[in-house]
Amino acid sequence: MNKIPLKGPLKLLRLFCNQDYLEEIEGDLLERFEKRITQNKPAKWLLWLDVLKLLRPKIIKPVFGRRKLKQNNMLTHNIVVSFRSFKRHKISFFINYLGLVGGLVTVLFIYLWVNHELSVDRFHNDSERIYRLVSDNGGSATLLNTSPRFARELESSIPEIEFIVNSSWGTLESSLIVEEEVYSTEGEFATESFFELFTYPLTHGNPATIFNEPNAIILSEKTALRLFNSTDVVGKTLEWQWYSLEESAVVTGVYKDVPNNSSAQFDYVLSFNVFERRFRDRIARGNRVSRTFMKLTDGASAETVNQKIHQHTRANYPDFHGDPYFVIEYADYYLNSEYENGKPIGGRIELIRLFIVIAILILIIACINFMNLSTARAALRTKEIGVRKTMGALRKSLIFQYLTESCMISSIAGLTALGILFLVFPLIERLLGQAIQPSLDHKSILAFLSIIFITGLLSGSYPALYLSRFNPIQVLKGPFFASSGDQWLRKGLVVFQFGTSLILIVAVLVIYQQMQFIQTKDLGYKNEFIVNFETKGMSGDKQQAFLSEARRIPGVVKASGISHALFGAQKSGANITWEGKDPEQEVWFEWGNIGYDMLELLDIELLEGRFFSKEFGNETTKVVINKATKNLIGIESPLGRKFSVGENDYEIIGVTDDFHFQSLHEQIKPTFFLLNNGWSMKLALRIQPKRINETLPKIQNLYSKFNPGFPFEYTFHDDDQSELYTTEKKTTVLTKYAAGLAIFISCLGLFGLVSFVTERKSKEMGIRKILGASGGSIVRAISKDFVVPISVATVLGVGASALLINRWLNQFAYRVDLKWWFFASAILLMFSITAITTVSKIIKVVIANPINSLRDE
Amino acid sequence: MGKYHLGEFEEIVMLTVGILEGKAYGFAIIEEIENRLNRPVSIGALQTVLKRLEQKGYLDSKFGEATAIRGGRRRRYYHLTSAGIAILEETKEQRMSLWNALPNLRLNKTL
Repeated sequence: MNKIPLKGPLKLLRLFCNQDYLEEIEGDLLERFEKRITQNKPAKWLLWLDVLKLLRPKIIKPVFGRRKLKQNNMLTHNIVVSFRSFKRHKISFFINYLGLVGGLVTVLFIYLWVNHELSVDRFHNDSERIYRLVSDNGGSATLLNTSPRFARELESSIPEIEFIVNSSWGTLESSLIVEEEVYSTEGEFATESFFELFTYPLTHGNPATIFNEPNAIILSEKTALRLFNSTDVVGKTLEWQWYSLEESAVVTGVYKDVPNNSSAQFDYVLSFNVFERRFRDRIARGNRVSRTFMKLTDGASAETVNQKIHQHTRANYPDFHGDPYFVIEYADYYLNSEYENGKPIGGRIELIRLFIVIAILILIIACINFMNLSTARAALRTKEIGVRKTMGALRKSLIFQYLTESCMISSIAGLTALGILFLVFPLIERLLGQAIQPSLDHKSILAFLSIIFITGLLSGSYPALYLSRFNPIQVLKGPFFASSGDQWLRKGLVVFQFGTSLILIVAVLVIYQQMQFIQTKDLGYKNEFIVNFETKGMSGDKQQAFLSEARRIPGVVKASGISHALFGAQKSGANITWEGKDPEQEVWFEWGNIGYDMLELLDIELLEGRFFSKEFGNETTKVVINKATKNLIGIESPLGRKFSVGENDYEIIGVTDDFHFQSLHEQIKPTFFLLNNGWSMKLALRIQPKRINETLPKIQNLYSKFNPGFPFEYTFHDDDQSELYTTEKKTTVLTKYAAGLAIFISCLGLFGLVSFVTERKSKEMGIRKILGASGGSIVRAISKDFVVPISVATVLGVGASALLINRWLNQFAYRVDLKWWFFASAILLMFSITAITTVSKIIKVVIANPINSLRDE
Repeated sequence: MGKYHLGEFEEIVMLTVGILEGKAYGFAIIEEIENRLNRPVSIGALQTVLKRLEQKGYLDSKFGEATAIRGGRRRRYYHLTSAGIAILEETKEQRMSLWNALPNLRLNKTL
């Protein structure tokens, strides 16, 4: 037989043919070949043809080869077995599933949120080279305001600074006017390189020339659409107005709307030329009226720059005693906004850390459910494991099987969690009061998948290792008893779950108490029913006329004005002096430049002297101080004494009691009030509580009469003030939901354990009953397994929560004290929820007829 | 989804397997079809159909003895399963009921 010509076609066949069919097909081919030779046919060519005709999907071997196929089979088998086990143990499946869904929703959401927070300001190109100039007042406050003149000096004298951008001291709430129509907008001034430094892509206009016009204005797409109904608006003109300042500006460009994850939000950018022209005097004096951003050269370190700034200051301003300047990374400022002596000490990052810790805790609680239930159920599965091992299953494949099971349940839970997250996302955004940019790129998807996968591994790890360890002979021979070590571990996990839940419950109670305390604390003045609004275009005279007309509206109790936003303004103590002041002493003051009637309007209590009053003629040389200032000055009767601010001397005419304008995080600061010259930045009206609805439209009418074209935009003072506590509000929301979820998941787990134990012990209980055990002793016998770990959890939880919550409260200068009943009610709450969870199962055992459990066998 | 219906070639293969009665292996089936029906059959086409019918459960197979003519390779013998016989019967009945319903068979002859 001549085999040589067959080599080629058979070789080809072996390349593609399914191994399982190879022998049969090769045989057929050969038989046919021989036959053809006897028939004198061109057998070789026909063989080739036959082989080629075998190129069919059914016959070609699977793409993944034979070995892979086998493992896939094992995986398929595991998945099938997992599904069967889910079906057979529906209750524990649902407990695991619900717990994991809760945990995963929390974790995935917090992942999105944290991702958003960490991405803030990082979208700028070279964001790690963008820095901002700040100064430090020696305390914890970081001052962002800078002197533009000083900034320019730095730019030219320090080579590490590539270029700087000066902007206004913040976004200005201003108006843009197009054809008599007034639009309220927030924008800022900036120097030429603004769009070079920050990545806000321009959609219209030439980046090189947009700032060539002295009055150039660049609008966001949204603003352009609002103003002109089009984004192609380069060359159009508009009026800009901020209080009494007015400019006409020409649009030179349009940029894409600022993304949510930018800490700066602005509707337009106006050329810094305008700012410089308007504030020429102040800039020349070196006042800190701007903010400064800069790009450092590649590889330059902030430390070098800081050193050079220090050297520059020492060399050029030897008698400089102000707050020292330094640079910090622009993007980093959002998370670490608090600096002490140039070192970051915290800020938003703390909230993020808290969120992450809570997310992990909740996920662990959910994983513990899985571990507890699977190991508790181990007794039921020992036979299965024994048989598997006897049949030759390796420990490795058993571990693999249990991990498949846990990963499957976590994937199912993960899918559900994603669905739920999708549904509740807008709701959570509202609760947090923050728009979140959900990033759905490949990185997040990968992170989601790994979170789900890690959850599966974590919850399956212990059961897998534990169950696969059994000795097959032992488990097949007789009844199986878990070793005491495993029971300890299980109890330890329950302790962890309930301890964590208790800590969260205490946290909710205490945070709630503190927020109540904040809201109801006597602030020393009445912050309710005060309407604030900006004066916008009104001149001083007009304002006075407005106020006197406003006073005539029946619902208005008092009306007055203040020269800047209601407080929050600080003045360095360096140039504030009084008789007997230690010249070295530096104190920070709060101060207000107010109109007549303002202190009466706020209902601040007067301790000595009097408030400003028109009866006493010219009062602009008088000052009213608060008790903290009086204590600082340290004179028994300060009335009539001299108090100097800068060059000007004032006479103290009154002392007010202390009051809280700042958040309660802060101690009350020394404060003083000066009388303004009649022009105010903001007006405030106190309104009779019952007449708000009828009074507000009247005020609006009056406002539009005096300030035609400007929309009437007002806020209530107490609303403004509650914004001081946004972080606390977020913490409240978060801990409330976290505590609810934690206790829910823990109770799910407990429910699972109790139902398992009652099931297993039903025979024992039946025998006890027959022997005459009372209901009470049955309850004791069943619940002793849970009462001990939960009691331990209570003790540990109370201790830990007292420590942690005290730390949280310490950030408030004014806080509630921890009282025993916070803990008592938290414990009571936890025990009652636990009791409710388990009571139905236990009652079932108590009233069950022992015959039912003892009948078989 | 309706019941599976045999294709024409499938039916032929099954019938041939039935005819060969326990001696039906790949090349034998091909020879049988080629001899009886005088139509060429490629190994590829046949194997595809055999594998499909086996998956459906109409055929079953087992390896036979090794033979010298096949270079020591074993034959795989196919036989009908009871499901296979059932579907063959059913196919036949369907055909027959159609034939019976045909009104005038003579028409064919005159044409």
